[in-house]
Amino acid sequence: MSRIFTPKSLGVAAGLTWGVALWVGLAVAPTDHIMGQVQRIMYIHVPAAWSGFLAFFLVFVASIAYLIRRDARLDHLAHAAAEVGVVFMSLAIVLGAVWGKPTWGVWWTWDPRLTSAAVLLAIYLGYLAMRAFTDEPERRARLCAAVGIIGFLDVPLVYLSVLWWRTLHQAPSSPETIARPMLMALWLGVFAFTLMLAFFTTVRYQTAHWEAELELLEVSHV
Amino acid sequence: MAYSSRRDSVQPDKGSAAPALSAHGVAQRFGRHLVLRDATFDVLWGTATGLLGANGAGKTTLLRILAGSLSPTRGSISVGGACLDGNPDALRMSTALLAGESYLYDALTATENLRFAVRMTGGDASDSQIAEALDNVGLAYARDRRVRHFSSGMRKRLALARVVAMEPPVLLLDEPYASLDEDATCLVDQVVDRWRAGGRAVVMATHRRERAERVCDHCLYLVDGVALPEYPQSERDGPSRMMEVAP
Amino acid sequence: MSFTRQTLAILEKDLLIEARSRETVTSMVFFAGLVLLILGFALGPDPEAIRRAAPGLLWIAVVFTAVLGLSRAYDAERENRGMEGLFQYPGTRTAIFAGKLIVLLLLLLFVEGVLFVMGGVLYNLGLAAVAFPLAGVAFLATVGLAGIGTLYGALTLNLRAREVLLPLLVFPLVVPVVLGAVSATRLLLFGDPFGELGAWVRLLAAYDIVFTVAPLLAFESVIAD
Repeated sequence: MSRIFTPKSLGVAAGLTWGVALWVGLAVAPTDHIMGQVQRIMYIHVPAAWSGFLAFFLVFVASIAYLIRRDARLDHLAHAAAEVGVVFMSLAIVLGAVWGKPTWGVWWTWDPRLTSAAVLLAIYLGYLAMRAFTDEPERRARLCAAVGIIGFLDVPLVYLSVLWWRTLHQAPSSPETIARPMLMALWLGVFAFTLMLAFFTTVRYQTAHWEAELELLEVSHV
Repeated sequence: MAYSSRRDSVQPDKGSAAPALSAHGVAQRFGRHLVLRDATFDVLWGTATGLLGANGAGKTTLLRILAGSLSPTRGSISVGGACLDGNPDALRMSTALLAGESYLYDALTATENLRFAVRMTGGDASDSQIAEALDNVGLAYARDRRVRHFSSGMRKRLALARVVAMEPPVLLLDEPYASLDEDATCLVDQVVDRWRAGGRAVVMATHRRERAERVCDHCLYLVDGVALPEYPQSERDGPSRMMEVAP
Repeated sequence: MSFTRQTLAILEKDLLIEARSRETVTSMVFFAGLVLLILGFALGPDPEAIRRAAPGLLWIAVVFTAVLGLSRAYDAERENRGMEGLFQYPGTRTAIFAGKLIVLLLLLLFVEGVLFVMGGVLYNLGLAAVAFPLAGVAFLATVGLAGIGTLYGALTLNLRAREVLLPLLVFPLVVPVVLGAVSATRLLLFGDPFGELGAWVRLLAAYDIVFTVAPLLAFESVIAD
């Protein structure tokens, strides 16, 4: 990886962007007419879901690349992205529930997007469980690459099926036109979370690399 | 048993000088352990090659590579002079491995196990041919008994019958004498002789040096991941070492 | 052609093993019956409530039973490392996948047949009237289940905690099959005023294509022993 994308510089960039996004989201953007202050959760909820999804896409790409190149580093990348994705997706789901309570009166509705996110989370928790239960590194990389690929291929089908299940003959609610500062806060949040994803993944990737080194050391001292 | 059509493409070609199998610079790495470093050798038609080495020297690993079950980290294998280039199918077509595990199905009878193996290899075997194959390993009496009730020696005999029935041009034997009685030990030697006499080839891994040197035409000694053609004097007492490589 | 020969050989071998012991089929049928019974308890003695929930109950039973069965479907290949032996036969990966897939498909279809009869009686559903379209829906749903099951059974073949891992991996993946099959069954049983059945059938078919082709490719490049 090139010099500019060191974990440190990524971390600083993510932190700064996140600070600006918070300021715009909390201070600049107007309060929502209908939902009130609670709507501001959106500025974290949507970016978290987006970056979680992006992380799972990264797992998919890294898994395919691993099967072609058979390079252990690509496996570490898939591992790192899956863990970060699981954290972000969990955050998105919890925030969705917190947002849902005052808005809909219940913690959980079977909203298509929320439900799909939960199924996705379950798929990648399974991926991480699979990693945890396989010992031999090469074999783990190989088997988990398949799980990472198959899991992502399921995403569109899960979303479509949940959407139809809820609302086959009524259009899904589309967001009304929203105020410009609101949109700006949202985009800044998405940008900040994407940087955070890159930062966390890089750090986790480094750790995964060290873990692999350590694993090998342990093996060779038996 | 008749040769199957699939095997015909890799039948020994006595006119050509190409070896049955040749390994060039084969290395196999598991994690940081380099089990094989640079194994280079030829297996010639009409010969039996012994593969000797201490426990952990890489004999089983090398046989699994030759069986097409494992692709080597580095190096190349040629079958009948043609390089594989990452397609192990030619290797699977020309070899069959008698492994430590029997690959048998416990719920099936001896006959059914053999028939399955022959069909998977692309051949066809009549009942009498299968009965004969079982008779050859002294299991005629247990023909219709399920493998679940076999003793370990009987399983080993049946496993031998299985690879023989697959009629591979190159027969790979991994510790074929383990858990066999005297009669069965002679059976293995007979099979080796038959393969050699038929112009085919055998590679046999064993830790029984005297036996291998008596039965085989020549031996390879696996020491430190390298296949040596002579018994290494300096290594006579030292165990084979696992090597570490830089990450 | 060797592909057909090998596929048939594997199919015959597995059916023979199953016919010998009948362990898998028996345990699956018994398990399915118990699940149907327990789900009935959950919805209480109100026959109308059970009837309304029946499409969901039937398919929950199918998916639970399928996961139970698929962890058993590879048992024979584990005994003496049979899977490694299979991979040493020339040119077989696709044939192994196809053979195992068909075995699993037949097993599941048989158990589903029994399960639907039991469910129809227990929940008082006139399934006979829609037997043919229901069989079609069940077939489409089962191909997808078998595709996923064949790959994941092989993936977890030699792993510790296989029995725990398999449901963790498979349940979230088959959500589209469950939703599709439940919805289609509901529409068949209780009427389809908006003509939605076609959409679900197409979804199931799309799932079948994706999750037989992708597992096959993954199987070829990933499974080694």
